[in-house]
Parts: sequence; structure tokens; C-alpha cells
Amino acid sequence: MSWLLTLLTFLPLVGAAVLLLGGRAVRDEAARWIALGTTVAAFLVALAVYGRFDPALAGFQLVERATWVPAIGLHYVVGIDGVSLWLVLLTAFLFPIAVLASWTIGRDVRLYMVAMLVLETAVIGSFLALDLLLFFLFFEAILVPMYLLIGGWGGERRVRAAVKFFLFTMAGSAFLLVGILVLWARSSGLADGPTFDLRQLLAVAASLPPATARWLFLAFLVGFAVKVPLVPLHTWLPDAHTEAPTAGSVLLAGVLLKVGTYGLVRFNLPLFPEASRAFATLVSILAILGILYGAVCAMMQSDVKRLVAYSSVSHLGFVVLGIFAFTDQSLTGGVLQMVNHGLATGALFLVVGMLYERTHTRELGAMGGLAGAMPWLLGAYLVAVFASVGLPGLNSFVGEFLVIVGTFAVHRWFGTLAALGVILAAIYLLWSYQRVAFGPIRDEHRRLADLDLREAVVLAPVLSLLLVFGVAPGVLTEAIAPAARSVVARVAGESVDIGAVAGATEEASPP
Amino acid sequence: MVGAELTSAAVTPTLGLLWLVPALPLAAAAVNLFWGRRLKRAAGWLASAAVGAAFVLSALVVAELFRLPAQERLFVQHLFDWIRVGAFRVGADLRLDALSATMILVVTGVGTLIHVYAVGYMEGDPRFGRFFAYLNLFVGAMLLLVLGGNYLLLYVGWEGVGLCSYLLIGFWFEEVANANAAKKAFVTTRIGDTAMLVGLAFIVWRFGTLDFDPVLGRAGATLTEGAATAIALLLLGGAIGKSAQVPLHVWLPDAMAGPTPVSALIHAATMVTAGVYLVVRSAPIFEASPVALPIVLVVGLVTMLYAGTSALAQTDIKRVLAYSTISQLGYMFMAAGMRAYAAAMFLLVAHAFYKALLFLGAGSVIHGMHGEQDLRAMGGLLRRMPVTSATTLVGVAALAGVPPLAAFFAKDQILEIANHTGRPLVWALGSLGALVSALYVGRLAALAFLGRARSRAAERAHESPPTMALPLVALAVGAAAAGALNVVPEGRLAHLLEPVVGAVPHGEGIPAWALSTLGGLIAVVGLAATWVVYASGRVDHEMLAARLEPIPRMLGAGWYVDAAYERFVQAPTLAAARFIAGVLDARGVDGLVHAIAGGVVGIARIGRRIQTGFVRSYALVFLFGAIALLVLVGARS
Repeated sequence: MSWLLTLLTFLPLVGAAVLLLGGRAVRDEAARWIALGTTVAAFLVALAVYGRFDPALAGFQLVERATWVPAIGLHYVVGIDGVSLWLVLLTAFLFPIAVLASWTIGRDVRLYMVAMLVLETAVIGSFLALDLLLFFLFFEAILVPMYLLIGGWGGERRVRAAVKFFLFTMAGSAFLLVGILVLWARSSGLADGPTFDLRQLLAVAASLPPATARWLFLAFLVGFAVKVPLVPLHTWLPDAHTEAPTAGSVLLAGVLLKVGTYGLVRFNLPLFPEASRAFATLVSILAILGILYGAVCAMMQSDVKRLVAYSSVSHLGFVVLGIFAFTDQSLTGGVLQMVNHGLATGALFLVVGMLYERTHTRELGAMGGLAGAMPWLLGAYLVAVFASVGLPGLNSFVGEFLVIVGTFAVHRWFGTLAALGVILAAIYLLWSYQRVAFGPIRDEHRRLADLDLREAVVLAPVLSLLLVFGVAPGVLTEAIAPAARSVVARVAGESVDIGAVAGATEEASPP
Repeated sequence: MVGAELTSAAVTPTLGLLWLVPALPLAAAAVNLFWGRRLKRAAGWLASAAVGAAFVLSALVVAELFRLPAQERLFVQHLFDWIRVGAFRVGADLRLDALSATMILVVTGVGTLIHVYAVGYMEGDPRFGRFFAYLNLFVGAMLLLVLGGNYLLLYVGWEGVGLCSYLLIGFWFEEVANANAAKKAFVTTRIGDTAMLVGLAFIVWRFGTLDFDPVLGRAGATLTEGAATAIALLLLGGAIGKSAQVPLHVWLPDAMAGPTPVSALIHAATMVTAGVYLVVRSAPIFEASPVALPIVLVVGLVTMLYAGTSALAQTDIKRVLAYSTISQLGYMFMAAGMRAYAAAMFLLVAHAFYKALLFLGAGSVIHGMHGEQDLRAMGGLLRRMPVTSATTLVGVAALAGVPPLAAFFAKDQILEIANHTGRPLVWALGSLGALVSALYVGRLAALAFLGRARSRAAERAHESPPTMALPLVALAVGAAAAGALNVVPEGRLAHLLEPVVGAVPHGEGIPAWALSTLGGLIAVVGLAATWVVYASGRVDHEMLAARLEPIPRMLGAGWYVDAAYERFVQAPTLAAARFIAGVLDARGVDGLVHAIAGGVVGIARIGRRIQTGFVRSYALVFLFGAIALLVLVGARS
């Protein structure tokens, strides 16, 4: 079954093609069901991938390789490892939910669903591609459907936000592309000519002069940092989130940002280990800046979607910090936090979207007291809020905790400063929740309807996972930890396991 | 440290049931969360039954534990691996020893009574089922906190009770003040919690694990004094937040916005004692530092006096009790700071009884007066609410330290240890604090129950229903008899706790009998004085207060600590945040980006003819550019 990953990647594209070729004959209702059916089918395929994945094995699994453009060494190579496994599962899980959450889209439903399905192929392809140019093609392909989703179905200032989103990420991509091409050019000494195959390039990159490797590291870093986003390249995110339709926000926060952090783990660290170490302090400082700066900005927002957007800036800072602390635990925590942030923030945007559909406002000041009118919806909101706050028992805590302890063991101050973000998260999230849920209710909000069946079906799986992954994170770390360990070993020369404290065991026996 | 030398007992059928102790209330919480509205009044009984069952189970398990020889009284139940990354593992482990046994009995025992009481108190509330779901969730989390076999599981419970506290303080969320109080509590305690989290990271760095046995067993050998001090103070940060010690105490008086059973259970008897538990549990780390325990002692002493004096001038009956709780927790910290861990735990147990009793009594008064909480509007309730008044007065006497009630023994032993370990100043200030507590609680009793009724609500007050009255009686018995647990410093409780917390410190000083006599006298004199001033009618106490201004106003405002925080911490923080978000981010960072974009557009004007305004044509240009570059690089190599 060596075609499983290809099936997973292109199944959504097939759905999109069906919708496109069907033309106007496809009615809105049919378009919705076709999209839902396709995304659910893709999720089932992803589960099959999970079933075949062996967490005990290091390295890539289910690899497929085909020559595409031999002249330039472009290959179709896809494969999966512990880093990408859960990101792919998360993507395949969130798309059917996003489609179901988009049921209320009433305009150009067919085209909307086409954009969604193309987006799914692009994102999954990005996570699976093991050829740098192939990765770049998928990476760039994300932009178009996302641009259309924001620009076509977004809020009042959607066009401005969409263009800003496009230009920012495009600018970053330019650096990335140059980096990829230089690396490719350097591989011409290989027996079978230059190549974009990551596995071969790892050896090529190892023999680069340090200065070249550092420039390439920076080119890759800029490309991914825009996507993450790292402060100060973050200002496109609040605009994009605010104007995007609900499903757009869910996917943007849930999976698109992770393509950036994934790129750091997949490419920056293994390809340029020495440069990674050299720039680790700088990147860590930017990450901590992001944690604190994003949180402070979130605190002052009056638009609830902007607030959640800034909270993403803050939370993604934890991910980057974990990646660049180079310990088994911090990197595992970072990857874990990618998945958990996708679920928790996805849940937040889903709830916020449902609130918007009812109140037609995103202004915190225009809400209030809604917990009395809609206990279930606001209860779901509360669960999502506390997951984001990092309440132990819910999912985000474990990742954050691993990042903090893993970082602290090597950088006392970085670990401590990151922990301060935990206080700020409580402030901005509880404050916003309070302004939505508590206090006196407005008269026009008294009769708002609570969750309907479709919405309950949308929220229930996500909320359940917030709890399940909080109690049993081992389901995820079982696969993530070995992969993280090998990345750390590549960067640091050996695995850095903070659980194995040499001094403590020696001194354990009193003289 | 003696605790680490305990050998773990083999599982027996009864001990194997340990996991059910937290699981029962958690399961009932889930039921009430989803079906509470349909269950109606049964939701309350279900919740009470779950906690009651957890109490019975706790008693059985603890009895089984104490049948073992002293050095084998440890049972660790490994449920599953929670976190496992490389060699770093955190298990979902429950740990039963004499210390956690004491705590689970208090939590489930007092908890059951408060649940039963709440069935009456919360009757008719539209969110009755939700209330009991939260209350059960709290009990489950609290049990997890004290039963957790490692620091992280303790932290899970720690944050869990914080969540429930948040939900229950803001339970009547329609009032903005209640919601504010809830947020204040969560955020203030989270400041401490974050210090604690860093402390945990520190422990992992030094030990590679968070399990109590290796960490506490090797603390003395592994940690340098500096590291021990750092960890101890970081943990103390968490304890200060949760136990409302100075300077993070400001959330507790406001937390009285919650329904009174919540104040009794969470903000008096159990959750706020978690900080004391943490310090006692972590004693080997604190002892490995030369300064940590003295700091604990000073924090406790300052808090005890600060809160006690603040309690003197409160007019809201619940706020008197809130400050009293802070003050009593300060006493417990003092005891821990002198290594008198057993004495701290003894006061914790005794306090759980009489403070729960006082709060429930106050709740009964508020209930009987239809929501009135102002002491100045009460008076003469003894005649109209006999059961409430009589039981509450037992609590008053117990707290004041009237022999032979609970606090007489508990507080006295702390003072005796202070005196006998060469700390005369601590002893003197502690005795002063004892006088202050007799004064504030006596004032409360005199204003509420004695004298004449000072409002129509007081004249028409009625006694509460039996579900509320019976728990009062049970707690009064407990408050009266709890002293028997540990009649002398090296008494029964101290003996049971010794394998975990070590021996009671002792030395020479003023003879114990003289100290006890003095303690009893302080209580009686203090109470008598308040009777003269507030209830005898011979003194115009309002005139007296007016003449003492501005002292009463300052005490009433808690020495203006809150106001200072608002002005010097909150306001500048908000201003800075407003600047960062409103100016720096919106104009600075984003403005810079737009300026660069503007420059690009300016250049693009030159090539206007190719600028079609469609992003997709830019993309096309980009793609061609990329290919051109590709060819270029390819040609070079």
C-alpha cells in the first residue's frame, strides 16, 4: 500500500475537481455534502496511515518516490515521520469540521468548497513532501485558496486583509525559494546530478561552509517566520483572522501557521545544525518576545477575533522556543503544542464564529451576560478558553509544560520568561470571556438560541480531544518523542534528555 | 527526612480502592454537568452522596493504612503513565501516607457536611445542578491535589481547584462585581502558580523527575543551598497565592462574592489550606535551604497580624471571616516555618471544623435575613435563630481559643513551640495575634447574635431548614472536640504524622501549663471585652470607632493594599499594554510594514504598465522570476 500518502494528499483535489467539472449543475446542498464526504474520506485515509505507522521506527515511513522532472532533479517524494504524523492527522481532522462549520455559507458555495478542498491538498502535501521543490509548490499553493477564502467570503475589509496576507507570505517565500535553489545548486556534485530530495540534501548541507549554511538558514528562517508568525513579522495575522470566514480562521490558526513551525523542525534544524545552534539565542529571544508581546497585545483587543489572533502569536512563541532549546522534551513539547494549539484555538474560533452568527458583532463591549442565554455554547467556549489558558488536564498544558521544563534545563531565564506568558494568557482570556459571558445581558440577546445539532456535532469532537489529549498525551508523544529525539541529536550531536540527570543519581547515594 | 525512608505497602483489596476516592466526586460532577437540570433537587443529593461515599471510602482506606507498622504506612497506586518523553516520566500516581490521609479525611468529611448544607442553601437557584457539578469537581480536584504522588499531579489538582474557585466565586455571574472577583482570584493565584511552575521546572532540571520520593529523599544530598532556596521560594510563591498570604492575599476577601457554602468549603476549610500542605509536603527542600523556613515564618507572622487587624474593622460578616481565614492560615505558615509541621496540620484540621462552622453559621444568618450581610444591621439573633446562634457561638469560642475547644490546643501548641525553640518575639506577637482573633470574632458574635435587633430584617429573621441546621450541629461537635486529636504538642496526631513530617521540635522555656493558662485567659478576656463594648449597651461603640479614625477606615480597607495595587501595579500595567497594543503594534510595527510596502508601490509606479492590480498576475510574475533565477543558478553551477 505504498500509495496511501498520495491518496491522502490528492483525494481532496479529486473532490475539488468533481465540484469544478460539475459546473453550475452542482447545487449548493450537493456541494456541501460532496465536500464533507471528501474530507471525511480523507480523514479515514489519514486514520489508515496512522494504523500503518510504527512509532517505534525512526525516520520516514510509507515513503513513495517517483521521478518528475529529471532534468532539474525534481522528484515526487512523500513520506511521514513522528513530526508530521500528528500534523497530518490534525489537518485531516479539522477539515471536515471546518466544512461542517461552513454550512451557513450561502454564496458561491461550490467555489467556496473548491477552495477548501484545494487548501486541504496543499496543506497535507506540505507536511508530506520530502522534496524541497515539491514542498515549496505545496507551500505556495496554500496561498491561493486561502487568499480566495478571505477575499471572497470574508468580512468588511476582506480585500485589504487578503492582499496583506498574500504579500507578506509571498515576500517570505521569495527568501525560502532562493535558499532552496542555492542548496540545489550545491548538490550538483552528487552522482546523479543536482537534486531537491531532502534526504540527499541533508548530506550536501553537512558539507557546506559555515557562512553559507548560516545565510541559507536565515533565508529558510524568514520564509517560515512569516508563516508562524514570529514578531515582528506578525501583523498580517490579526487582519487575516479578523476578516476571514470562521472556517478560514479555524484552518489558518489550526494548521496553516503550523506549516511555518513544521518547516523549522523539518528543514532548518536538520539541514543547518551548526547555524541553528548559532542563531538559537536570537530566535529564542524573538520567540519569547512573541509570547509576551502577543499576550500584551491580546489583552488590549476589543475585537474577539483579533484577540484570539494575538493569542496565537503568543502560543506559537512557545512552539518556536521549544524547537530552539534543543532538548528532547522541549522539541517534543513544541511539536505537541502545534497539534494542541490547533485544536484549542480551532475550538475558540469555532465558538467565536457561532457567537458572531447570532450577535452579528465581534466587539467584546457589545456582548455580555450570554452565559445565561446560551449555557451550552458558552460552556463550550469556557472549555476552549481554559484549554488555551493551559489548565492541566486539558491538552495545551502538556505541550507548554514540556517546553518550559525542557527549556529551563538549558536556559534558566528563557524558561522563566516563557512561564510569565502563562499569567498573561489567564488575564486576556478570562477577561475576554468575562466580557462575553458574564455581567448583565442586552435585551436583544435574551432570546438567542443555544447550540443546534449541527453545531454540537461540530464542537463535540474538538472539545472531546481537548480533554483526551490532556489526560492521555502519550497517544501523541509516543510517535513525536522519537522523531524529536533524532532531530535534537542531529542539531546538538546527541540527544539531550532532561529526564536523565547524571548528577542526581550519583549523589543519590550518601557517602 | 523521615518520609523518604517509608517503605511502600503492598496493595490490599481495600487499599486498591484508593483511586475511587477522587473518582467518585468527579463522576458525579460529570453527571450533574450534563443532566443536572433534569435531576432537579436530586442533583444536590447525588453530589452529597458522592462526597459522602468518598468519605466512607477514605475512612476505610486510612484505617487499613494505620493498621500497618508506622514505617510501612505508605501506599502508592500507579494508575497510568501520564507524560512519557524519553527518560522523563510523570505517572498518574496516588500516594497515601499519614499526611495525605489527614487531608482526604478533612476534605471529604467537612465536604460532605457542606454539600448537605448547600442542598438547603441553594434551593430554588436556577443553576442548582450546575452548582453541585462545580462543587463536586472541586472536591475531586482537591483530592487529586493532596493524593498526587508527584509535583505535577499535585499541580493538576492545584489548578483544578483554582478553576472551580473561579467558577464558583463568579457563580452568580450576572453581577459584574462577582465576575470581577472571580477573575481577580484566578489571576492573583496564577501569579503564585507560575512561580510554582518555574519551581517544578527547577526540580526537573536538578532531579530529572517530579516524584516525591526521589526528590524529597535526595533533596538534602543533591541540592546546593542556593538551589534549595530557589526551589523552596518558588514553591512558596505558589503557596502564598493559594493560601492568600501577604502579598498575594487580596483575592480572598473579594472571593466572598461566591455563595456561602463555597466560602466555607473552598475559601476556608480546604482549598486555601493547600499552600500549607505544599510547604509541609516539601519540607525537606525547605530544610535544605538556610533561609526558606525563616521566610515562611515571617510571611506567616506578617500575614497573621495584618489580616487579624483588618478583620477587626470589617462590617460585612463574611469579610470578617475571610480576613480571619487569612490570619489563621498565617498561623499555620508560622508553625511550618518553625518546623512544627504537625502543629500546622493540627491547626489546619481544627480550623477546617470551626471555620466551616462559622461560615455556614454566617450563611444561615444571611439566609435567615434574606441576604443581609452587614453586621450593623444584625443583632439579637440568638432568640430568633437559636440553633444557628448556639452552634456559631461554639465556633466563635473555638476560634478564640476558649479551653477546651479546638483552637485552644492548636494555637497554643504553636505558641508553645515558639517559646520553647528560643523565639520569644514570635511567641509575643503570636499571643498578640491570639488576642486580636478573640477580639474580631467576639465582635462578630456580639454584633450579630447579642444585643438588640438593629433592623427590620433582624427582627424578622427566621431559623434555617434542617438540611442547613444539622451540618451546623455536626460541625459544632467537631469544632468542640477536635482538640482531642492532639492534646499536647507530641500528641496523637503528631505521632501519626511523625513518619512523614518528622519529630516535633522541642526545647526549654516558660512551662507549658503557664503558657496554656495565659492562652486561655487571652481568649476569655478578649471575648469578654468585645461583649462589654459591643453588646452590653454600656459603651457607644460607634462613637468609639469614630474617635479612633482614621484607623478603623484603614483597617477596613485592608491597610489600603488593594488600592495601592490598583494604582501602582494594575494601572501602569494597563497603560503599558495600551501603549504596546495601540501605538507600538498598530502604528510602529504595522506602520513600518506599510511604509516599506508604500516604498515598493512607489517603485512599482515606474513600471505601472505591468501593474495590473491582480494578485494572481503578481503570482505569475513571481513564478517566472523564480524560474529565471533557477535557470541562472543552474547555468552557473
